[in-house]
Amino acid sequence: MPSAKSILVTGALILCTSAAEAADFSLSDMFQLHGYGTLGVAHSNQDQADVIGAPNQNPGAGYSSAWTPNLDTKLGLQLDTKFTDRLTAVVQVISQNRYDNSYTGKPIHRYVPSVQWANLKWQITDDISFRAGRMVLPLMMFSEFRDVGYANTLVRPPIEMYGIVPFSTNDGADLTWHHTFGSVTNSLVLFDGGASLRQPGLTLESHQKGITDTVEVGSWTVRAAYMRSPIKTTTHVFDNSFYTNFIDAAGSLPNNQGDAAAAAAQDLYNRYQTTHWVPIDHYDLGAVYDPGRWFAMAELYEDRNPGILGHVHSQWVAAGFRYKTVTPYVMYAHVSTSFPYEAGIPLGGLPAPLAAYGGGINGLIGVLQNVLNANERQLAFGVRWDFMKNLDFKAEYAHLQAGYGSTGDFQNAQPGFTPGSGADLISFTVDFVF
Amino acid sequence: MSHINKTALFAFAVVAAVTLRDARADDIAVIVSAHSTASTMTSDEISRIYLGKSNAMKPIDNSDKSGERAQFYSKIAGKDAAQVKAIWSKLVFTGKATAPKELDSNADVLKAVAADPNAIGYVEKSAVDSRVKVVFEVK
Repeated sequence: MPSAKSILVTGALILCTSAAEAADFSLSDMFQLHGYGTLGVAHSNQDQADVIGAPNQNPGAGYSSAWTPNLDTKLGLQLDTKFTDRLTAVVQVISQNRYDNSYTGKPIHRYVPSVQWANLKWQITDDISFRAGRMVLPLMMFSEFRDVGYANTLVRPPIEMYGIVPFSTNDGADLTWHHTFGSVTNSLVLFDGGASLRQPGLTLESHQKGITDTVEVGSWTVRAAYMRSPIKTTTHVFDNSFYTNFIDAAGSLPNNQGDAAAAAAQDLYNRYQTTHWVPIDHYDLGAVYDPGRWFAMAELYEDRNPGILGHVHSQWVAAGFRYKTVTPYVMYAHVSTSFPYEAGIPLGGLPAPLAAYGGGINGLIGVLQNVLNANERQLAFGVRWDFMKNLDFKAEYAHLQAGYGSTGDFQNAQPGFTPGSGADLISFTVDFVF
Repeated sequence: MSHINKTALFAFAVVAAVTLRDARADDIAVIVSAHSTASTMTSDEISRIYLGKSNAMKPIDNSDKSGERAQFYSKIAGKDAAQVKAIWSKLVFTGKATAPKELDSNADVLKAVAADPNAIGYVEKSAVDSRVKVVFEVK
């Protein structure tokens, strides 16, 4: 005796099927499920700090464990929905070792799936489309597909550039104009949105608006991007009163004798305290030449902030040669940070306790500049082998070297880690798509 | 003497067979609907459509069971199957495009192209019929 529920379900299925047939439409036309993933293992010989493969990744290889799957292993699933020829939706969920928005404070939850893409796309004309929802932040040349191992020749894009900006998504909207002029294809994207990030001891918010332009002609792809992203931290090491108490005290000294000190402290507060929005300008320029048998690529990135983050400069180049199914490659990447010289708060003429307090603020600025000074270079040799349909195997040797006095991109640095140290990293990955 | 003739004959047969096979393998016709406004296209235009750089037309792909696919991409774009898949993976997983529909036989490709004035496909040249027109021949 079939239950009422099963009759109802069967009835609904028959209705759907006949509706679909009547409209000459099938579910496979409306929905498509795709996926990608990487099984990886990496080894670092630096036992006093971790090498990481992407921002917000913890733990990495080295101090936490000499051999680990945590750098590259991931799984992504994507559902494409086509409502009409002009209205489509994409939802992509990824599980990987990132703190991103999935952080719950428990390391065991590192692989909790997070939503990478979730947007509606309206193809307004053949050339113009509009999306709203969550998109991946299109800041650098490979940002949007960095997690899709199969789509990349290298094991991973270099941490020296792709580790600078901790935000990977943009919740908002974008407008794309994609047009072909003769043999030149140009794609212009305007985007506006925001992101927030929770990590242990840090919550960051970002407004992100920018423009990217990609030109494809023959074997060349050239891409430029600009983004302005004010950021704000909602958790912070020093309370605002650390600055404001000094400003108030210096500003209320008789005969305006503390005014210069108060103004200098206010200026440092504006540029080094991130409890209010602090602007950052990002610039990126990349090019790929890929005639088929070999390829070469280069990318330049710079971001500028008037205070706490300084100026970050990064460059990388890679080249490879395809011999049948085997592609050996070489990659070099570099990042450096520069800070403006800070004269600090003028302490002359201040009462002794206030001068000591001002000296403390000056000292903090020096410490911040030192802590945030990422300086590192990486040289990598690897090979990609397309051994089966929709599957590749990669092996890579890399040496990562922090710059003088810097911890570079190393994480979980222990007291035994000497700034300026390096690591040898060996990685093996298998990438798949379906 | 007859031995030499036999050898020569055999060599001729091998050369002929290889030549014939090559000639047959070269015969791929890139087709659009007979109702399409397109009349001829360049290999660069076709390459851009099949690599997702241009959305001027809707590409229809052959499944890799067909013999034409590898040859088509190699000749049109200078890329092998894995490179083409990597390029489409970038587009699919960034929501920029959906991969071309793959059909199993020349007959299915002909039917799909004939039915859609905006579609483009490729088949063995000998399979072409009046429902479609040839815009490019892959040599």
